[in-house]
Formats: sequence, C-alpha cells, structure tokens
Amino acid sequence: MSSLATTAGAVTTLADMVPRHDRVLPVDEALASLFPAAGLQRGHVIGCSGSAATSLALAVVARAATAGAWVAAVGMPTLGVEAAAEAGVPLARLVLVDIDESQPAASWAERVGAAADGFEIILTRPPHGAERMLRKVQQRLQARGVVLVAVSDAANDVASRQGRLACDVELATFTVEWLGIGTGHGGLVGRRVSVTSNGRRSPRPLRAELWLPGPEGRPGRVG
Amino acid sequence: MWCADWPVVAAHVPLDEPAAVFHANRVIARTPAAAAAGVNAGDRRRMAQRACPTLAVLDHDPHRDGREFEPVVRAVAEMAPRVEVVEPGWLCLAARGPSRYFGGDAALADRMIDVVLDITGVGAAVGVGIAEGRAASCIAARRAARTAAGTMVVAAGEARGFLEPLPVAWLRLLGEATPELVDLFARLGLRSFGALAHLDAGDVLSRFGPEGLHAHRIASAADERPSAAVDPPPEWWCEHVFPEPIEQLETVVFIAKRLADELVARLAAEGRVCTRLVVAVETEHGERSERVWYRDHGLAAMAMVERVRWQLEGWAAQPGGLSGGVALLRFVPDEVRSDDGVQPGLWGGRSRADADAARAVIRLSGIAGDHAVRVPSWSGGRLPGERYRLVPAASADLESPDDRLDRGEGPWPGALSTPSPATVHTEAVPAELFGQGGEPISVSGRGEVSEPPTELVLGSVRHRVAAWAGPWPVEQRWWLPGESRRIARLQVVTEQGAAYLIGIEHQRWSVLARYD
Repeated sequence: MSSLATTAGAVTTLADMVPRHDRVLPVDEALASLFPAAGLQRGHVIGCSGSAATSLALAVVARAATAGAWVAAVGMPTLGVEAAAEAGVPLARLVLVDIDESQPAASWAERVGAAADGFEIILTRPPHGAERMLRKVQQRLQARGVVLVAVSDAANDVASRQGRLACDVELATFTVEWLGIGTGHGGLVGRRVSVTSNGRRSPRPLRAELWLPGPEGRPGRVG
Repeated sequence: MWCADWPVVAAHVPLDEPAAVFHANRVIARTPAAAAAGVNAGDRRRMAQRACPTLAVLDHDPHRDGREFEPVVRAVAEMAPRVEVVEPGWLCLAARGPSRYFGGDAALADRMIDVVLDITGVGAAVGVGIAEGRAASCIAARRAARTAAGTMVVAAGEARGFLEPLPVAWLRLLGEATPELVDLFARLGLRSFGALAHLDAGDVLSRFGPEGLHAHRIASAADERPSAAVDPPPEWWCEHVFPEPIEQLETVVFIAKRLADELVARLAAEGRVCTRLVVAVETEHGERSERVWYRDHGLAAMAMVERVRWQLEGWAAQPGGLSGGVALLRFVPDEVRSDDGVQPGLWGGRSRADADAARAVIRLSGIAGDHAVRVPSWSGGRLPGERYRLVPAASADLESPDDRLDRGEGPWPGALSTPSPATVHTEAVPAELFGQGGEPISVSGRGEVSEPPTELVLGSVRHRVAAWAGPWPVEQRWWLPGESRRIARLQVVTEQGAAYLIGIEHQRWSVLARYD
C-alpha cells in the first residue's frame, strides 16, 4: 500500500488527464493507513481535532501540495507559515484568505466557494455557524473535486465559537509525549501523537502513531 | 531614461535623510544620504542599520513604484510618441524623431532631465542616455545618473567603442543575461564587452546557446531588436469593449486577467512569448492612455495584469486624468519572439493548477479585498510572528515566488529551533503563570525565572504545567528608542499535552504561539 501512495505522488501530471472524480490526492505514506482510500478522496471533508489538529492538517495536505496542488487557508490568519513549510507544504502554493469577522459564517461560505474554483485543497478553521453553510458549498466542492480539511480547536479550549462540520473522515489527535523538554531544561524537539480515524465508510476506527514532527523535523510514522 | 533608486523616490521620503527600501530583508534602494553613510544595495537590514543607525526602513511596494512613475511617463510621452516602460524608474524611447524636433540629442536629453526633475523633485539621481541600441543607451543613462549634468550622448557609430572597455557584468544589471552566464564569461576571461564582441557569432551560438548569442549582439552594439522577434499580425490583438463603462479598478483588472490569459495562451500555442506589449485603455469620454511595457524574457499573464494595474492606478491618481468609467481595454503585442525556455518551464508556472489558482486569487481579492487574500513573504526575525510577513496576493508574482520566499543565508541567532508553532497569534493573548505557592512567575534581568512554573492560566482555564524550558530572552531593535522590545520566552507543556510558547514583556505574560 505504501508503494502505491509513493507512485501516486510522482505521476500527477499524467493523472491530470484522468477525469477529476476518479482520483484521490496523494497523502504521505506515513498517514496513508488513516484513509480508507490511502489518499485524500476528492470532494471529501476531512476533520482534524485534538491537541495536534493544525500540525496534522498540514501533514495531511503536504504531499498533495508538493505534487502541484494549491492550498487556500480560509479563516486561518494565525496559521504558522513556518510550521507549514516544515511540514512539507511548499509556500509557493499557499494562499491565506481571511474571513469577515462581522459576518463570519456567510463570508466563510462565500470565500470557500470562490476558493473551490481554483484551489484543490482548502484548509479552514470553520467559524461558528459554518456547519449550517456547509451544504451550500459542498456541492461546489464535490463538483470541483476539492478536498476540504477542517481544523477544530483542542476540545478544552474556547470551543463555543467554533463550527463543527459533518466530515467524511474524522481524525482525532492525542498527544502522547513531547520529546526534548524537561522541567527547566531542553526545548521542544518532537512529538508523538496517536491519531484515530473515523470514517463514514469505514466500519471501525483506523489508528496510527505518528511523529508530528519527528526529532529530525518532519512528520513520520512511529516505529 | 533611468532614475536611480526609484523605490525611495516613489515613497516620497526627503532625499537628504537616510532611508532605504527593503525587500526580503535586503536593501533594494536607498536615498543619497543613506548611500553617503555607507548603505549599499544588497545589504542585509542589520548591516545597513549598523552603517547608519538613523536609517528609516521602508517596505517594498511595487504598486507604489508603478503608480508614482506614471506622471513621469506621461510627461515624457508628451515629448516622444512611443515611450516604453521597462520597469518603474526606467523607460526607453526612440530618440531619433524627437531629437530632431528639439534640436539635437543633447538638447533632448537636457529637456528630459528638466521635465523629470520637475516631477520627482531636485535631488533624485536621474540620468538620460542616448546611444545606438537599447543596451548601450541604458548603460549610458545609468552612468549619466551619477554625473552632475545627468546626460550622456554616445554619437552615432560610436556605440561599439563605448561598450568595448565595459565589464560584461553590465549584462546582469540590465537583466539581459543570467548571473550564471555572466560568471561563465568572466571565468573564461571574457571580462569586457570588447572581448566578447571579438568572438565569431557562430562560435558564440554553438558554445553558449541563444542566450550567449543575445549577449554577443549586445556587446557588438547590434541589438536593435532580437533576431527572433517578428512583427505580430493584427489578429493577435486582444480587446474587450465594456458594454457599460466600468469604474471599479478590480473589475477592469479581472477582465485584464482574462485578456492576458487569452493572449498568452494564443502565443504559447505557437511557441512564442510577448516581450513588448502595448496596453491601451479608453474611457467613456474618449480619454486614452496608452503605454508600452517591455520585459526582456517575455511577459507572463500575471505580469501583464500587474502592469495594467499600475497604468490605471497612475492614471486615476493624475489630476485631470481619468474622468469616467473604462469603456475599452486593448492588448497589442508589439514584439513577440520564440519562447526559448527562459520562462519558468512546466513546473515553474504553467500547469493548469497554477493557472486556476491564479484566477481564483484574483476573484477572491475582488470579493474580499486585496488585504484579505495574502501570501507569505520572508522577512526574518526572532519571534514566530515576524518571520513571515503576509503580503496581498493580488500584487505578488505567484508564478515566480523565489524573491518573496528566499530566506537568504545565515541563521537568526536567538530564534527558536524547530519545530515551529503551527498557530502564531497575531494579537496578544493574555496568560498568567504561577509557581508552587501561587506566586506569579517573573523573569529576572539575568534571564532566570523566579521559581519553577506549575500552573498556566489561559482565560479562565487553569492548566497544570507538565514540562517547561527557557527562558530565552530576546532584545529587539534596542537601537530604536520607541520600538525596542525586551521579551523573555518560555515553552510550556500542559498535562493535556498542549504546548505553548509564552513570553513576558513589561512583567506581563502572553501566549505568542501554540504548538497544536
């Protein structure tokens, strides 16, 4: 399975000739086991939650972006650009789109819709009320074959102002340990995260232990 | 005509005060006062500030450069029919006709200097050079800009002699050859234009390829126009007549993008690129603005759109300029040549995904405003929030982003090592940090915490601290009294596994970033 995912990354140019719907976007092989299709199925909504949600979302899109897909980060003005680069997202294909704070849900839907016309991947932190708007844009996402990756805050934070979307694949993260940091010495070096994937179409949860990132700075699989 | 350090002139800073425009943390233009203090183009920000502590730091803004150059172009265009803008601060025109009218090359040059200085104000280093061939006249103009008179005329037939002793490095400055080729020439001992011109053109072509031949033609003052250039047939014209005159710039730019895409695609189908483009705009009241834009290795669609924007913004800002809505927009490719692959190839800029994304960016900028659609640009720094700046995507070159993303060399001492936080707060998020006995934690002047932290309070939620590291003090801009900052940073991991970067400034803690 892992060799399949590697090849998928290398042949995107040829894949451009195949109708969009027949395709999945490639995903890093360390993450492939979390997805029933071993990649990001076009038109799907993928949710990331938990204490490493943003890092996981970046790792999820990195391979496809490297292969040529553009990434729009809608409503994520606080996205760490440097962390995106370290996760492997080429900054040349990353565009950040703000939403209008006075009418978050409506402007979110409008901008996600417009981004769907030109971007193959949309990263987003859905604002409160976005769940009611999703239906409006979902048709567009599916027609265009866009993958929407929604990041929601860690559960114990200010969850009230966030929207929760109905996802095709839900990835929940749980930080197992941080490497390199002690009490008063060292510094953050790497993080071991356990990820659980629940899919509408997968009968039971899929699990993986990941480095987000590993001691060498890149996301990877533990063991 | 060449105006040295145009970006600072466009920024309207007094030229007798030290100021410099920075892009990607390097000086791209500076005022004469800054130059006198030892600030050079290409210097890193810290070096420049060490050379001149009172230096005013300005951001690079290509739109401002283009907009502010428009009045100069208009003034010069009243003297000569075909004025072509290479880049803001640099324009070319055919001198033969106008110089006959004004009574000789020298008279024309003097008059142009007066006209330009009228607009830019005295003190700008403006040079006018007249010579046979584009390259020779450009070099003459740049050298003239450094002289008191500001003009240099190379008489007919003497261009080759003028170029002969000059170093080939000029090719790079003029954007006519890549740094690699210039280096190669230098390594082979071809240090001057004269040495290069003495070679046989055929040998040059077989050894250095078309780019080398182009350089050879320049060196032999034979660069009237590239050999591969042809006069484009009129069916390559692209125009759009607006049924209703349009007053919003964004709408016109949107149409311009479509026209540009169409034109570029049509040319690309024949393996050609447009090197010189005439952009004509007419308003409902019959006013007309026509500009010639030149780029030696071809204008990509985004580059065309960028120039339409400069032209319109400059026109609108002009007193007595644009008085009504735009009724017609026309692109006339004035010079096209075969695409020799200097442009970014398949991966660099022309995949369908790139074109789609560029179009969506224009559209999003129209809906949400330029400032809501942004791309990262490296600026360097020690705090996570300042290492990348976000700049409007509408004015960034999405096809060749290297300028914007190049991180230069050298580390930033005091910046935190990887991993970088995935969430970087742009506004301060207040936090509180307590020790065992409930005492607030402080950091001493020697960079030590008062006691080990045990509790982090964010909003109303209390988190037990499981691990922590630091503090790492950082002093920012201590040389500027109003802007100096002193922050001590601490990494904190809570019992739930959430990691934060917090900082203390003026005895107050705040969350700088989160490793989520």
